[in-house]
Amino acid sequence: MTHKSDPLAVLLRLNSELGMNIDESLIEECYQVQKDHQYDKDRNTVTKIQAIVEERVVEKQGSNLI
Amino acid sequence: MKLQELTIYNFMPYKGEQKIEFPQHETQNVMLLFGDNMRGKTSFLNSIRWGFYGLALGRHLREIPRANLVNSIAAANDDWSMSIMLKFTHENRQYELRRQIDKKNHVSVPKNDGDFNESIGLKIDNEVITGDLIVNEINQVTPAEISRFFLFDGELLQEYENLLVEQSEQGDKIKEHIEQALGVPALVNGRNEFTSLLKDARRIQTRDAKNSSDAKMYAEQQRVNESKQTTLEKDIKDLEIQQRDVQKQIDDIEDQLKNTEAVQKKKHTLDVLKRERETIETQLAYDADEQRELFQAAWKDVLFKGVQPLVNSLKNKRDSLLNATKAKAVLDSKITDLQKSLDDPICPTCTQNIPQNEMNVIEKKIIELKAEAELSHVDIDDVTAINSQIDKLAKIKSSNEGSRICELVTKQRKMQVSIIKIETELDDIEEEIRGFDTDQIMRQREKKDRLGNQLFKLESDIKDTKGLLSKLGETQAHISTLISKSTGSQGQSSTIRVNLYQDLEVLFKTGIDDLRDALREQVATYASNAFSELTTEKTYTGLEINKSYGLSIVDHTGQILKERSAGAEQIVALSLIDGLNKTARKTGPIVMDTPLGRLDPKHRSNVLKYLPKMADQVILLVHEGEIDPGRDLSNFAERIGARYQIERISATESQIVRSN
Repeated sequence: MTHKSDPLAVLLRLNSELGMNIDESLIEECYQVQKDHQYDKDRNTVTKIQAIVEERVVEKQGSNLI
Repeated sequence: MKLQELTIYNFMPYKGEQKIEFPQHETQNVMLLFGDNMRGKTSFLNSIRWGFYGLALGRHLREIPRANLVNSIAAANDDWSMSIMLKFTHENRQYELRRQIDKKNHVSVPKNDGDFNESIGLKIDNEVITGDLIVNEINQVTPAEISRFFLFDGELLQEYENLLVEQSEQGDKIKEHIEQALGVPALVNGRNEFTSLLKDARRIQTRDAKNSSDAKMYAEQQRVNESKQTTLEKDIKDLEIQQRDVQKQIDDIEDQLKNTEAVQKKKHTLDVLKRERETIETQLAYDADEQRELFQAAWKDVLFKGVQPLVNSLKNKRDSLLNATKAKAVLDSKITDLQKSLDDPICPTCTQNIPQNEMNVIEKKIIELKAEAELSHVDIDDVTAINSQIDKLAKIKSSNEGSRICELVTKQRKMQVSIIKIETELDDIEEEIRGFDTDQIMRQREKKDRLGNQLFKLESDIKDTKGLLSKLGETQAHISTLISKSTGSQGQSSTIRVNLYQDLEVLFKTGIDDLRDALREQVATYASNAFSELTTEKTYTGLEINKSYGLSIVDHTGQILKERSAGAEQIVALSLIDGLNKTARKTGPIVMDTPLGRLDPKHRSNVLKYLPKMADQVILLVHEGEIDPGRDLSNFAERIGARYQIERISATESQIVRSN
């Protein structure tokens, strides 16, 4: 798989191209969860994703307060 | 992933324990397993598949029941234990995977899969992995979804042609597998989860916005939209359940119809023959009517032949009588003229007296003419009588009734022979399909057609509802932005959350299409490179990929080649497999069963030179008709790391023996 057809590379490129300004580490973490479990029969990745995003919510709210 | 060792125990034709070591060398990476047909090449492929996934596939990709997987000689000796052990490495870790089935204690002779206990064990670097984690670990190394591209039956390569057929059901399934192999599910699952999480996040945001005076109105709109969204999602879910249900019914009917395919064909022939018989019978009835009518007038045709000469003779006689009458009239006229000269012997031209000697000549002539006229005398009643006879006989006319009747009789005989033939054939077919409810088969076909229409309608409804949901999503996103910008909501955790999920959903959603395009391009590039090495036709410029990953050959004018030979199909399919493998995996083996079946010697030579480059390990299961050990091995002798031979012990037992 080359860089161009690597799903994570596609996401990061689009984030930049579309000017979405999503934190790259957030994209990487979310993608990693999905990649690791994409072939699992009983996936339960929602809670993992939720935890990652909630952490960012708290961070952002905190930085807003400061 | 690199295969190290396979230990087979009582699997299909392989009785007892048999061990195979795979080549580990970087360049001597090809393993050859020679075996004649029916000796166990496909069983060897299945042993690897079953070891990894607990699944063995027979013809038409049907799963082989467990009872048929156990070696029949062992089973006859009441040894119903069968196992596969695979040792392999992946990312510098050592794996030992063992899958086993045993007959349940209370079962005497197992018949169903449920009559066996299946156990699976996995060690990674000597650490035991337990429970569900085993399947997840295997999926990390080599997901079942990818297996069709590294464990494949060369005889099934032609199914990749379906990818070229727009909206082919089988093509869609292969496309789905391809995308699973290429990592698209990570983004699809991500998008789906963000959609679901976004919905929850918006609900919380709406709840918070209700307390804000400037966002209250938006909150109400969002609440209504949320309820619409729930309804639409439920509708889609219901429609998809119906769709799956209808599809399953169609699949079941197709399976049933497939089993009765021969009967259906015979039933079709039966119907055709019955129609043919009906047509002949109608023709026979029509001909019989015509024959009856011909018989009514046939006596005329019989008499006509006898009467015709008589009529001709009468006509001749009448003609001669009429001619005689005409001749007599001429003679009478001449006599009258000469008699005038005798009565008044003055020449009308010179008004002089005709001399006596001339008068004597005239007298003589008159006597001769009178004698001649006497001979030409005709009785007019004779002519009338002849005419009357001709008129009567002329009524006897012929329309060739006799020969027409002969033609009809010949035709009738031929048709009767045809009917006898058809009826014999009908009896044979009816005997063959006795016991099959052919009407039921026809009803099933009709039902399948009805279900097909229903499925089409459901698919269209799902598409429409998804369109509405997508539009609603845009509205919700817009209102959500308005809420986020409202004074009271800015900086609130619910707004931050919505914005994050919204952005991630859009990113993953856009990423899916983008990734698909990139993957297609990548697969096409790899496949084209492989194709240029595999094909013997060097004027082809490459391969073109469609949305379903179907590959078409592009000729030197840039046009797509419309017709491809079986050999060309195989070369294109091998190129696709190579493209997919190179796009989907960094490393891994390829196990090919009978990959060279449809190739001519030149293509075979090209493929043999190329195969070692297709993967880190290439395991070829071939018969000597595909790779002639004396002739073909020189193409890649330096790449062969291991060579095995399947030897026949008996009709139901084979043994794998190392031959180098």
